[in-house]
Amino acid sequence: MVPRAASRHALPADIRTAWQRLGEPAALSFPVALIYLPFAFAGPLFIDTRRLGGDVSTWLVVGLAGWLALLAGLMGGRWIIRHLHRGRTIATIAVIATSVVARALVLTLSAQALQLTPTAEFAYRLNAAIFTQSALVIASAIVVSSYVHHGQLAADLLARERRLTELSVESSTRLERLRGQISDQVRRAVDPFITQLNALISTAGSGKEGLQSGIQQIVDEELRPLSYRLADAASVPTTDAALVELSRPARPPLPDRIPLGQLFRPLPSGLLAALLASSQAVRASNVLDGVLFVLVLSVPLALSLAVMRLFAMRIRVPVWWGLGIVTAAVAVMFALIILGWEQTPLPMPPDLQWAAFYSGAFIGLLLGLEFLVNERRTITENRLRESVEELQMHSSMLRQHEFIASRQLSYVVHGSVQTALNAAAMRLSMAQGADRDLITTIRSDLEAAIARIDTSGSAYVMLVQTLADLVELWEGTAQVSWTMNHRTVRRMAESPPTAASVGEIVTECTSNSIRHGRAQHVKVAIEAVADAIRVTVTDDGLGVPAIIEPRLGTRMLDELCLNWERTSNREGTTVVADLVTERSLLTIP
Amino acid sequence: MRSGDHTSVMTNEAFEALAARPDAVRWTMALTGEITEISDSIFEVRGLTPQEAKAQAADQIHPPASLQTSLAYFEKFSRALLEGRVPEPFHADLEYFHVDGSLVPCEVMALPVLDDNGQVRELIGVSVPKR
Repeated sequence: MVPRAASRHALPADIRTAWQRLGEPAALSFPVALIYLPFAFAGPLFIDTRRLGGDVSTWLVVGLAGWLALLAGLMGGRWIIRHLHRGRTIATIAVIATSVVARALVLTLSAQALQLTPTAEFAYRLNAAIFTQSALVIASAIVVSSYVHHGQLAADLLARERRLTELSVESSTRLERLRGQISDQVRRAVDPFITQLNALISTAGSGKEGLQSGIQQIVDEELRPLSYRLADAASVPTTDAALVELSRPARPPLPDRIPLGQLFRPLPSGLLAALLASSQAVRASNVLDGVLFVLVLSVPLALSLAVMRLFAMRIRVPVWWGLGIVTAAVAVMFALIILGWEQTPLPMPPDLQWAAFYSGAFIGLLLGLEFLVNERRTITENRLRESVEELQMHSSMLRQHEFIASRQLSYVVHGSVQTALNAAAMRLSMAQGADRDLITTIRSDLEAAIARIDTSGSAYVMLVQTLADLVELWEGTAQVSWTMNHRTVRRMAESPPTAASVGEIVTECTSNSIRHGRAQHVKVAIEAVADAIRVTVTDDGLGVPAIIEPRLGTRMLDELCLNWERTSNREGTTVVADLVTERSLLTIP
Repeated sequence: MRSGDHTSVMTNEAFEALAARPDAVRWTMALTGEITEISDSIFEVRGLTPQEAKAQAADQIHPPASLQTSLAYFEKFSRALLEGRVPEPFHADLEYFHVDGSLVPCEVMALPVLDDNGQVRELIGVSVPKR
């Protein structure tokens, strides 16, 4: 109930989310290396073969060795940081950086060992590793981790949905079970006396004195403690059972069609293109040419994708078609930029067309996938949030039902059954001789009283009368006033457990204000707020003594309310409690 | 003057007779408890326009005893509807707050209005200042 202060973050939500995903174990998993696999061969096959010569199969071996080094680095790093609870994201980035450097070293050394290059190109390889490969592995890690995270969310969602379904079934079962247990307990206590009553009929009343004392013993030792236990909120069984574990969660599906423009990601595409270009920029003759190369490759790509995004936003395509289109579009754009560059007199590293096409396809595919995973995660999170809210409201309503059912059972045991037993004892003591008719009547009354246990639970509380009685009860001690409108009365009439719960809460809070807070004035306001009922009890008392605070009906409030809060200051104490109604459950989307 | 239920049985004729009085305030209430219409004569009785009166909270309309009577009837009315019964009519003396802070005692009658299928459509009422 206490509103949380709005959190302030310097970073946009997307970046914060990506940072969190990067810190999860899945960010250093085999699928990350697998997604990176095609790119692990891009450099050796499309650039190194043209740059240094040598046959494709040898460069394939070099590429594979480099990829294995990266895989070993990722797996080893994952094992090393597995127990870290803090700083996991930074540790993951460090592991990725180390792994790509290991790959670069293996590429260099194996190329030299296979006589593909006369010199060890450490500067070139390390530059490519740090700027380009790190970024690509990090992007792959975010995609994989987001996918795994989404799977966990989907599992949670499904478990909660199942739990929700089970709750409604369990509720009626549990109430029946509770009623059955109480009925059995009372019958076990009373049945021997029914038998004795039957025996009295046949013995014409001899031994009735023993029966009277036995009846009194039942009332004192069995029924009274039982009714007190039932009246105590602590006896209400909780509805919060452990969530069901599920092995194969179903992920909520993406929409059939999505706006194509959403898959074009100008800024991250431009950033990745710049990082890719930087690995080749070191081949330029001077720094200025290198910077120019990076800018000319990345800025036009980002701008062209921004234009495409704008125009394609209104075009809705099937998801996988969209992914294919964006992959092809980024690949073609990247290659066209290289071809266009070649037509100018400006200097550039040679033989990059195919590498550009291949890299562009990778950028388009990776960022498209990342968008889809995030889109799906958003859908799942929204459904999960709705599901949790629904679950909380159902649980709260069920607790109201159970609480009120327990109270009503308590009234029956305390009232009807005990009264019947007391009346039986009195009739037996007053009768000169226990004749057959008298004993038969007593037995029938007892059985009828016990039968009420099985049928109790549907009584409606007239809340207005309850509130009026409360005002009268405290008259002369404190001034109790209340207010409610007709709309709220109607809402309560539609939800009898809520009306009964409101009556219990108001009675309890008013009593606490006057008895413990020594309040002179207590104001009760009951209002319909959206689909819930809000009860506000304000007093001018001394507040709640800290030593007894935990006992002051807090368990009952916890049981009956969706949420509640109590605040005290010099002017007095205010309790605000929100209760779910049957209508709340009907309007859940 | 304390509010209280009238013991006499209320009839449609009695309702019409009361509603025909020149100072009668006619009003309707939806089954959800919202006041939907109030006649302009409310201004003569309580010093408020119909719009102002509709916007008032329940405890701004009646003092506690009358509010209790009114709400207790509406609670029974709502229960009857939910149980599929036609609610009883209402006839009682209630006090209303005037805009100047004084209390205006009124005789109040209310009848459930049924549609062609016998379903309760709304509550129609009349409040007449006591002379």
